[in-house]
Parts: sequence; C-alpha cells; structure tokens
Amino acid sequence: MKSSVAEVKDKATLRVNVEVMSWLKEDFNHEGWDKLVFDQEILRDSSIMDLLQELAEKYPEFKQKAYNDSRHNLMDYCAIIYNGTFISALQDLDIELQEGDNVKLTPGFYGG
Amino acid sequence: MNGSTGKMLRVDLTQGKLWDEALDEATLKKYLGGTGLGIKYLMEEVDPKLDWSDPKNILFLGSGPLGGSRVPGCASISFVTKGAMTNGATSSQANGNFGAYLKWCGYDAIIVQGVSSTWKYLYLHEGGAELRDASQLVGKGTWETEDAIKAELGYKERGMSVFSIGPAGEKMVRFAGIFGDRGHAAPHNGTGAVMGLKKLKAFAAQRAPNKLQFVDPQKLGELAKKTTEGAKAFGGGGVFNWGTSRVVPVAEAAGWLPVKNYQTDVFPEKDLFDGQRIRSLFQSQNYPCYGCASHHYELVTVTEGPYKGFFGKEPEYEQWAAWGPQIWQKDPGAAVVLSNECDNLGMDANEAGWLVGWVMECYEKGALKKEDLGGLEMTWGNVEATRALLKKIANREGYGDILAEGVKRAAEKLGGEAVNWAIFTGKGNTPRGHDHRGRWVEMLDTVVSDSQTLQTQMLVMNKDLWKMPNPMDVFNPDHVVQAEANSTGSMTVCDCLVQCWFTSFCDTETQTEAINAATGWNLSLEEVMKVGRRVVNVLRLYNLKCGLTPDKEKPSPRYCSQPVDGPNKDKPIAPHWEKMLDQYYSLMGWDRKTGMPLPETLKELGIEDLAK
Repeated sequence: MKSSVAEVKDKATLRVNVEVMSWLKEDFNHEGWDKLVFDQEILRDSSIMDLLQELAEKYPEFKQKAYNDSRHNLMDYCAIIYNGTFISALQDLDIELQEGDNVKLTPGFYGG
Repeated sequence: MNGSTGKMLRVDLTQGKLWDEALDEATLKKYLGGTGLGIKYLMEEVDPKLDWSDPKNILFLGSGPLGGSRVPGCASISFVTKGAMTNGATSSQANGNFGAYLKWCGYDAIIVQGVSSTWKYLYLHEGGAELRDASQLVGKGTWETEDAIKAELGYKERGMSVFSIGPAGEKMVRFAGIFGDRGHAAPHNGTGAVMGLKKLKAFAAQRAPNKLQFVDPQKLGELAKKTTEGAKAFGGGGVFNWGTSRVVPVAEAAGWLPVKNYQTDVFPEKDLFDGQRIRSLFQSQNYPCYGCASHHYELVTVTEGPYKGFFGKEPEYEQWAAWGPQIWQKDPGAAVVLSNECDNLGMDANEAGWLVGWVMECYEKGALKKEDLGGLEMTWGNVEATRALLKKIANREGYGDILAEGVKRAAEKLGGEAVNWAIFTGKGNTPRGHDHRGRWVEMLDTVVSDSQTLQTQMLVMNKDLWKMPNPMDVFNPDHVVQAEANSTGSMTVCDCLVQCWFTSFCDTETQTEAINAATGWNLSLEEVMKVGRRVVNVLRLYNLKCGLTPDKEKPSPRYCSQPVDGPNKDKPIAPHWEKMLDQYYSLMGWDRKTGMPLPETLKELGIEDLAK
C-alpha cells in the first residue's frame, strides 16, 4: 500500500523546538519581551548547522548578521544551547537532530 | 600639545599644596594616558614594599588623548593606585563625564599624594583647582555627596562631574570604590579605601568651555561617527540599544550567570530580569555619558512591588547578577534598591555580592548564626537583612568589620569548610559578576590580571588582528590560553585611552586612527597594540615587587569547582589549570617560576630599565 503524501512528509521530516532569546529575537521579527518559542520542521538527518541555515534562509536579518558580517563568525554572534548543553566546538554543529530536540539561540555576548 | 593639555595637577594633601606639572610628549607616546600613565607614576613613586595604607601611596586619575573629544566613550576616567584588596597595582575605570571635564579644566591627569589632617574635596574649574573643606560631607552617600557639592557650588546636574566615596571609603572598607555621575563606578581593588586613607571625600570638575586642540578635527569627527556606527552594529546592536540590561537571561542560558554563590547555574526567574521587560514596566530615562549616543546607561523608577517609587540608576548586568541570582533574590525592584544602596554606601557590587552570597551560604549551613550577625537572619534572598548587612559592612559595625575585609579574608578568618564556599582569587582581586566556570578566558584573565580587572575581552572587533583562535572553542584549553595571551593588552589600550569598551569593542584600528587625528603622532597599529602589552608588563613588574607571585595565581576551590547543573556541568576547568598557566606564561614571554617577563620580552617593549 502506498503511503499518502502527508505520511511521506511526516517520515521525511522531524520537528525541533526552538527558543530565541533576548535581542536576537529582533532578527526573527519578534518585538516585545515575551518568549519566542516555536517548532521548526526540518528534514530528517539534518544537523544543528542545517537548522541554523534553514532559519537563516527564513529570516534574512538573522542571515545577514550571523553569516555575512566579516567582523565575527556564527558562534560569536549566536550562542547555541542544544538540549541543555552549551555548544562550544564548531564540529558539534554537525550533531544530527532528533524529533523533539530543544535548541536555544541566544546572543553570543561576552561582556558586562 | 594637540590632544593633550600638556600638564597634570599635583595635589599634596599633607601640605595642602597644589601645583601644575608638565607632561612630555615622549612619555605620552609611550603610555598614551590613563592607565598607562598611572602605572608609570606608581612604579616611579610608590615603593612596592610599602603597604597600600601608607601615606606615601598615591592616587592617580587620568584621561587619555581622546578625552574631551566627541569620540564616544572617551569621557571616562582611569584611577590607578596601590590597592587595598591585593596590596598591588590596580587600575579601575569609570564612565560618565569626568574625563572630558577634567581636560576642559586644563589637566590630563591628577596625582594625589600624602594624607590630609581634615576631610577635603578637590574642586576643578576653568580658573584652576582648590581644596575645599568636606567636613559637612562626612557620612554622606555618593549620590548625596554629588548633590551637596553641586548645590554648594551652584552647578546644575550636568554642569559638573563629581566622583566621591561613601561611608565605606571613609571607613577604609577594602572593597570601597569611587562613584560619580549618578552611579558610574571605579570600584576595583579598593580605590575608595585609598581616598578614605587620604581623607579626600570627592573630586568635582566643572564643565568648563572646551578649549582643547586636535590636529585634525574633521577626521576625528568622522572617526567619532564610525565608532558610533560600529557600536550600533556590533553583535547585533544589543549593547548599543540596551546596554547590559538584557544580559541576565542570556547569561543563564549560556551557563555563566552566578546563581546562589555558584551552587547552581539554574535561575528560573531569569526572565523577570530581562532589561526589555524592566524598561517596559519601570520608568526609564536615558542618562548618557558625554559624547555617547547609546542606551547603555539609564535612570529608573521602580513601579511595582514593595519598593515601588524607588528612584535610582538602572543596575548594570553585574549588579543585577549580584543582587538577584547570586543571593537568590527574585524581585527586580529589590535589586534596584540593593544596587543603588551599595553604590551610595560606596562599595564594589561584585565583591559585595560574593560576600553576601557567602554569608547566606554560611548561614544556611550553620557556620554563621543570627547572633554572629547582630541579629540578622541572612536567609537566601532576604532583602531587608541584606540592606542592613551592607550598612554594617560600610560602617564596620559588629561582624561587618570582618566582612569589610572582603570575602577572601573573612572566609580565611572564619576558617573550616567555609573557606571552600568563598569565591576569590589567590591574589585577592575580585572576579566580575559572572560564573566564570562558563567563561574560561575570563577566569584565566581574572586570576592572572595585574590591573585587577580585565586585560582582554573575548569579544574584540577584529579577532584576526589580536590573533584570537577563529573559530574558537571557548572550552578548549589551548584556544582559551591562545585567546587570553594573544589578545592581552586589547582592553589595556582602551584603559590607556580611557575609552569605554561598550563603544569601542577594542576596535584598535579605529582607535589608532583617532589617536593620530587627535595628536598628529602617526603611531602605527603595531605601536598602539604594543602600548597595551607594555602596560600589562609594567603592571606585572610592579606587582611581582609587591609579592604577587605566580603561586598566587589560583582560583579559590569554589571559583573553579565543577558546575553541578546547567549547560556547562560536564566542563571542569580545574584539571586543566596548571597546564594552561604553563602555556600562558610561555606565550606571554614570562618565566614560569618567577613570573618575570624574560629579557627579550622587556627589550621588545622598551622597558628593560624597569626590571632592575
């Protein structure tokens, strides 16, 4: 029996929970101090890096600041907390995402 | 001299004499100003073997070559002295207006020497300078002192800049700072205790007409705009638009928010402290430093909760951290109160936060009891008990007298297990209000620092220029050491220019262009970077002579303990520490055993003569 289009799509994708914090929310067109949390659908076998690139395509301001500013790299601009663990090494962005994973994005701020 | 008044003011409090002293261009080129100039004079004039409380100790305060110009962040002021916490060199910077006003009054810097027999304050104005009676100001807080001096001399709010000490400085509390322009602070290493020693209550500078000359004002104007644009864009503009007010939830998410004296890294109420929420709910009013367009600094009125109606300065991130999560206190309004009262009493919020958190942990675990603390119930988050304790510390009353020595000395005096709960460095200087177990570069920087504050920043405008690992793994020990060693001096350049980091972000290239547009010196980028490293090494030479040797470069057990939860719980720094120090010394060109800069290091920096 053939799978329906919806079922194929369901098997081919997964959903991760994304929270964007503080002034980074402005890149995601969010005003106000309330939380910005959403589910993001992404192809199975995708990595954290794939997720970030998908978000960058969806949100041009984030793309511009995180990827296209020569003064810093992605991880300077944006700190990533994956399932409660701070991601500090570039290679850890290759971690394959699982259904229901939590990814928190927060400004890569080191001052104060 | 372009970019400089060409002179500094000498104040001898013992004899009550003031006189001008010429500054020579060669010295200014070598040290730029601010911290650089200050450590030069400290090295020459204060025997490192003397105790910080000896009347022969000096207090230097100075601006830099861009002070008084429109380049943003350059109205700041740098204080240099032999400090009370470490008994070694210190340099501490305050934002505000004093640096600009000082130069408009005709001086690049002031050196205060000797000790007065009665309380005085120093008044700088267009026509010169004078010492005035301060007996009526004794016991007043820093905000009250500012109000009283302006009223006495007839100045409006921004017509004068006043930096003063509160009761804590008068009582020589070791972590007393110097506060001015409504809560800006030079709080590190007991600068305020040195003013208390000298019976000097305040510095007050008129906003005199600006008669400074710069060699290329048009270029300087363009660079001022470039600096503003850079600050607006850097890191997404968060700091420009919000200052540090929105950092609490950011820090908690990344695991560098100090919570409950490092007993956890989870603070569920973090979002209550988000600056956007605060500025939406509370009444806020921008109160910028001279020449700065950012929204870094605001005044605030609390509009909800038990402290509704309280007016003061909006806390900086480190004050939110100290008076919120560090003491497990969950009301932002109460944090505004504690922050302002600590400032008004004249104490460093970082040290006070570590201290109160430690007292609360001691109370919880039975090492300190109500009767030890004059009847105060120091339970976690107890705001009223904390207010009372801060007053006891500032006035050295009861157990407050022991706590006034700072957390390291208080813990060592109490002894037993309580020492292991205290957050401090072996040298005695105070960590910033972070959980550095999630910021290894800053822990290393704090522990090895000879300025007693930051000598580098991970977030510099040009990482390649300072040879920072790129990309960098902030928990890779090799990357951490390379970042710290290679970029050491980047913050020091800011401190010599006396430029606020939140406007420059260590943009050394623009800073170099601005120095040349102001002075006409034509310094190269490499020469300016070398000034930063030179000053770091002079500070080190002085501190080694003070006895701050490499064996003291250790974080306390709690400071470097492994986080028990949060996003960095599997990342202990302690197992890497000694190897990191070995690598750091090697990259810095210092002898691992003695801590001394090697002969080739001294030669490269042109300071061979200072090692003798």
